[in-house]
Amino acid sequence: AAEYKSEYKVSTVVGKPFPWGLSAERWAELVEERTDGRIKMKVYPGAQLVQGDQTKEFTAIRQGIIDMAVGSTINWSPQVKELNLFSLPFLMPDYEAIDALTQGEVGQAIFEAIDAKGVLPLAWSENGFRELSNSKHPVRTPEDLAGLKIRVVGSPLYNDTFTALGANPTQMSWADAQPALSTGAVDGQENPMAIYGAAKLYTLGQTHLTMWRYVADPLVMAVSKRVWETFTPEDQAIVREAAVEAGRYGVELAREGLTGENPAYLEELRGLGVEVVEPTAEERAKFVAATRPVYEAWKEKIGAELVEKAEQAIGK
Amino acid sequence: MGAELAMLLVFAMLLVIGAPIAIALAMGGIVGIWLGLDQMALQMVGTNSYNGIAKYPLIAIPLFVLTGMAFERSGVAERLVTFAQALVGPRRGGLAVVAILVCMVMGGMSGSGPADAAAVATVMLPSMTRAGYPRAFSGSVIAASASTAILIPPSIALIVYAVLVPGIDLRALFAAGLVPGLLAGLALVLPTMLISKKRGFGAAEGTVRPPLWPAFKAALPGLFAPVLILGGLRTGIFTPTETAAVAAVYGMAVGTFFYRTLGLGELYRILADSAAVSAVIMFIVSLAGIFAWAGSTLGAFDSAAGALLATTDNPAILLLLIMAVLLVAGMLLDGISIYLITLPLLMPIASAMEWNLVWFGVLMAMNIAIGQFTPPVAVNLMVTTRIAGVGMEETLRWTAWLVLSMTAALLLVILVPGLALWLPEALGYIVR
Amino acid sequence: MIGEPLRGAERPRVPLRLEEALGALAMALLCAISFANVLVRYLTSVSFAFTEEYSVFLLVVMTFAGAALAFATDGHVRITVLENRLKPAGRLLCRLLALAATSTVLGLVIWYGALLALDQWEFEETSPGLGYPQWLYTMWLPVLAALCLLRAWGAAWRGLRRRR
Ligand code: NA
Ligand code: NA
Repeated sequence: AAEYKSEYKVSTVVGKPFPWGLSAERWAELVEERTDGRIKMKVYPGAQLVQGDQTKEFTAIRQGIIDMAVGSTINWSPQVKELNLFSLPFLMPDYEAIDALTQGEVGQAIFEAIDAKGVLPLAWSENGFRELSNSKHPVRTPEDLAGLKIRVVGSPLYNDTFTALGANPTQMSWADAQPALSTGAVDGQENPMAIYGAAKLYTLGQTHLTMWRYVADPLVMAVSKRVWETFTPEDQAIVREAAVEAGRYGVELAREGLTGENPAYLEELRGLGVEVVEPTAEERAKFVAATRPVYEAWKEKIGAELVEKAEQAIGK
Repeated sequence: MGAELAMLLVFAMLLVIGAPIAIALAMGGIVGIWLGLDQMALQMVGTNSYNGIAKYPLIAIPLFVLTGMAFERSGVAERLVTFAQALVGPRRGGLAVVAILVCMVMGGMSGSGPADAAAVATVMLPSMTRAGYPRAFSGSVIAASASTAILIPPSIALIVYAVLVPGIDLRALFAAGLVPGLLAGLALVLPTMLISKKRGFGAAEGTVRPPLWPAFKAALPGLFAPVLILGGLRTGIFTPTETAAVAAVYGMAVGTFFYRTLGLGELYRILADSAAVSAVIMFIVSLAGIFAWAGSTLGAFDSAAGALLATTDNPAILLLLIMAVLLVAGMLLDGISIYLITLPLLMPIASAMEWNLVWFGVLMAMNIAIGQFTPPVAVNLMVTTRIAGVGMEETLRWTAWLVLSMTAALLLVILVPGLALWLPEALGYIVR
Repeated sequence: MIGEPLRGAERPRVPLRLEEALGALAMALLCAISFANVLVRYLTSVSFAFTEEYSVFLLVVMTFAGAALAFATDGHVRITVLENRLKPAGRLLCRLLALAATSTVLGLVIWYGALLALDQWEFEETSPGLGYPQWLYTMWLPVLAALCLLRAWGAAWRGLRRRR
């Protein structure tokens, strides 16, 4: 095998203390410890290795600019269209559904798709469900969304979804979005709860929160194939196992305080004056119905076979 | 250590022999990556030269350059000069003070020091020369006061800082720059008046004072621009990028429909020239990113920051040390390069010291403003000396005093952070 | 920081109007799109969400077209203190060294930029905002960097001829 590098660069979009960054850090710690320091991994948050453009992370791993990454399925979907699966509106009703996909046959099929695009995936972690917040009024049904200006993550599927819901999706960088939210130039946004909390969006007037679980963003822990080939089989096993462990740790962190058994964080938000709406089954069905045409159109684009496999896995 | 050293040496060598700063930085970074990392990593040259500039918040930079140029070409500077003359009145050094004031108001429309310097120098140098001010002196005063354009909002320097430092609200930065910008401008009035009095500059200044009210009316559309920019941001009608677009359209509209100085041909020139000026700035942003990438992945910034932190644990001394380094850097580099090179190094220090990042950004911008008129690399002086037709060396005897007084203003903002932070806090922005 | 106006004999054979017009067009579109964004947001409820991707691309085009212009007109920010003090031979050496560095940097931008565009084409990468083929955007980086390189060489050639 070729010589090991003195340091391996791990790219993430957000660093500590987010679950995302923490799972990357944990991965690095475990690997360094178990390889007796043969493999040193350094985490570069903020997608700084690609000048902050997280959608270019995947290509950079394939090219060998980045050695490893804990990447978002949304950010990598321009390169791997199968990753759009997790952005299909209202596919996954709960955390069990996410696990049924990532830990089963579907997850395997997606890993094969990533592999075919030149990057080696090792394990899953989690950024969480993306939830909706706005400054106007509680949103329980699509009617409540009518005409609301919502800042969405920049992607065609997200635009389609919010247009179908009757909202007015607005695409702007996160840097521009925060001032736009605080001044009311934009009414709402959608993000994982970790971002909502860290940016203290409730202090910017975003006090109506809808826990609608419309899409989820699992994270993929991956390594450059060029780098992988230089590792001994023994070290490969260590790196892979550490990724699985660190990923599981990240999933736990991402769900903390947000589950049915442990709603502590939601309670904390309520205490801060946030009105938390958890749509009932009937209310959710209305969202599902409104976004059905988008779902069907994108089912074809992503691959009908994979989507059906996912529906089965969740249905079980 | 070899790669880091080589990176610095190549950069310094190319800088000295007169290669474009953007090229010197990129070449330094390339050599560092080539020696210190693997060849695979060199592929970042393609990715990063694109990604470094393909950022939405950076769009505000060309748009604010366009705003400044639209007002410059529409003749607002002349009207501001008349208005300022009506305010200041005929006196020894009066015209020089008028130049400072006009630079500051133009700074409220333009985000770039050189653009401001060009606008004011074109209008004021002939009349200042007629009134008996030496060209080198006028060029120095205008170059120095035009540097307040990157403190008084809008500011290209602060846009770059907000893009590079995550979690900073650009509106808070803009608000924080206003008072220090006015302070820096006013700090220049004292040496300018003293030198003018002592040397008898401006002896031939006229004794006619333009009538105030008509002068004010003519200047009003220009004076409204800073109001539009600050007001648009404050009320939240526009995001910062949108503010830039609205201000640019307003500037072109004022020139076309109000002053009626701009036709289609002039509008084309404004677009072409502001694109050319913006490109020079953005080209540095693009290529300096390669240097910054190499520095942080080689660990050079971490070790340099560590070394700095090891020299002293006294925050005050550390801050003064950093300010001194930045002042020296300002002599050799343009502001954008300084941000891109030093921020990866300074951010860990700033957070370790728990400095307020808005305040720190304004301090850096003040350093960079001073750098805009300290030779040998002085973008503002380059513009004014070219218009004045004098060598940059001739300005040294005057710029020295101006540097000194603006450094005093900088010290004041260091000692009293409230000068920067009061306004953004009063406006209710998140200041951290 | 626009370069000094070129005197008659020094004008490049390929007129600079090309880059100038490209820059002006990019600036005009940037301004129009951003301004329209505000109008649309306040006056209508139509989604105008696609503009960010275009704007960012226009910024890249403007930067490299304008950089080419600046290479032709000596408009880039640089230190000329040493150069101004040197004898012609020393000045020539400095110019050649700077040209070599410029050629290396731009050459690598062209090479790796082209590789990146090819990679995006081969792996069918789509643009994050609109879902277009990403290489349609990226390919302009090597093309415009090549323009920069040609302008830098052209300026160097004119400089050498003037010396004779
Ligand atoms: Na300004
Ligand atoms: Na300087």
